[in-house]
Amino acid sequence: MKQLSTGQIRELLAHRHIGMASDAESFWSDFKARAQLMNQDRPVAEPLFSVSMKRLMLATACATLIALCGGLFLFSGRETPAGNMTLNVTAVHSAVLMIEDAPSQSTIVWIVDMKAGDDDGGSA
Amino acid sequence: MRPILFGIVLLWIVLTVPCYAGNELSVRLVEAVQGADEQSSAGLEDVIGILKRSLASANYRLVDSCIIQLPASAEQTLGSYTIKCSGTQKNLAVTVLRHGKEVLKTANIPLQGTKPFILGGLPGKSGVMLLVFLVK
Repeated sequence: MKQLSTGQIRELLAHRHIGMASDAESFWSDFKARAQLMNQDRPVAEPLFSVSMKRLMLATACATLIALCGGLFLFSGRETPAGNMTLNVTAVHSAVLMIEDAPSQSTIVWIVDMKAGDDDGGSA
Repeated sequence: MRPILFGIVLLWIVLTVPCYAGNELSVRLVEAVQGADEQSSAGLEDVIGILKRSLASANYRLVDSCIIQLPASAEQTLGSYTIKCSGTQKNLAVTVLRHGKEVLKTANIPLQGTKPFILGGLPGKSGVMLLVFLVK
């Protein structure tokens, strides 16, 4: 390998053209021109709602619970007055009538011709 | 954690409150009186309108009454009838006995709010008897 002396190095550097440092304006215009040649990632848009998934799930669960409670409160006991009633008359009888008094929404069950031994029901 | 706790408490309140809407069941034994000159006795003011509107008898007489705590698990004697009640307001079961012999049995009787439930046609000494159930 050829070794250069200090004098030879100085001579070579003196002959080689080294450009002067450019000013700031030309540097940045050159930089921007070079930057445009490169692919740039588009900026990511900010999310509309910055709510974490955990909070969203909690809010949904609470809303569902409140709706369920409201539904139970509003619609419980809205069935027909004698909807689930069962009646088993063991005494001798001819018929059972069910009367609904509209103004009071009360129910009357009437057992027709009921026979239950001697008729002393009122005696205490 | 707080919303879940709040939700659980709310659900508990909604599910338990309707069970305790009323805490006393009033049971009255009423006799239907055919005579027009008979006056309706005291203690029937809240149901006399319903009875006169819906049934044929002109007057009604209160024979006996009792109060049963809800949820019920009680046996009461009214006249010659024995009333056995069990359950809550929503699923009350009633058995009626006469001289110790079962006459009828009913379950899930409609006791909504403070609306009375009337069970009539029971034989009596001088007329037809009725049982009036009302939650207070």
